[in-house]
Amino acid sequence: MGEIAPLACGRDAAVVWDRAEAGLPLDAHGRDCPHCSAAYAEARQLDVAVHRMAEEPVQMPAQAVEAVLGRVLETARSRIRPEEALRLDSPLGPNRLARAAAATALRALVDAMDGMRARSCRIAQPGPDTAIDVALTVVARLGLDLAYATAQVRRTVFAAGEQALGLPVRRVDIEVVDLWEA
Amino acid sequence: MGGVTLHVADAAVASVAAAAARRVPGVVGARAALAAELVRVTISVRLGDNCRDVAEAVQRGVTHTLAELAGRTALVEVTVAELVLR
Repeated sequence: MGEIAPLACGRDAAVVWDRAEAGLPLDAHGRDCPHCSAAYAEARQLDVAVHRMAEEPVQMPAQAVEAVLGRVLETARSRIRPEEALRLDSPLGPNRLARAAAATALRALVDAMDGMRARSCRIAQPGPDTAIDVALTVVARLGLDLAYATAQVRRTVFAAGEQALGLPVRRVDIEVVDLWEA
Repeated sequence: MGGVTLHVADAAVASVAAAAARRVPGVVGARAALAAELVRVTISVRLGDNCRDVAEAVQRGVTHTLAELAGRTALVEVTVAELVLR
């Protein structure tokens, strides 16, 4: 995992996130520290959101279902070329994940974050294993703490790679290419 | 009593494979096609389910169903073509 900037109080943000993810309460410093408390609360919100997404039933209008099925059929007919797919591990033989679909999913997760929008997402799978490298360009709201926000993006991508795609994330590069005024 | 030969057409095998794939939790849509002894299954998965695990579950489900219903032993390859956002 890449380096994460420490919180303003000097504490490693990842330590606070790990406690939140594990469902552990903040320690004595964290309870009195506004930076730790805020990071903890955000991590809890993110964790709740990820689990809620996994548990929510999909309710889509029939037209949307037909549109999806149509695109699946089109893909099945046209066949995804090997260079357009990411390898998925399986004991029954390798499976594949369309690179464009994975990128769209990661972009959507970034777009759901407060003050951040993904502009592009490139995913590489350079090694013999299934680990991926992700390169994102994003735009951010003016006034946002960029170091903290990009650390959140990085954390989200690492989590989504493993939990949603089933691919370990080895590296995440983020470039903030523009800012917008709220 | 004479012998009986059962032949299951490729299109029927593909339909069985696609139906088996659709029964796997997390799969929103599925299509299947045959290429020799390889069954290619293309699926869409809802975002939030683990693509690797869903693809493997489809492989197992399709392999089992084809063996049971069509008497076919086939290699199954799954492609997740789309993640369905909500």
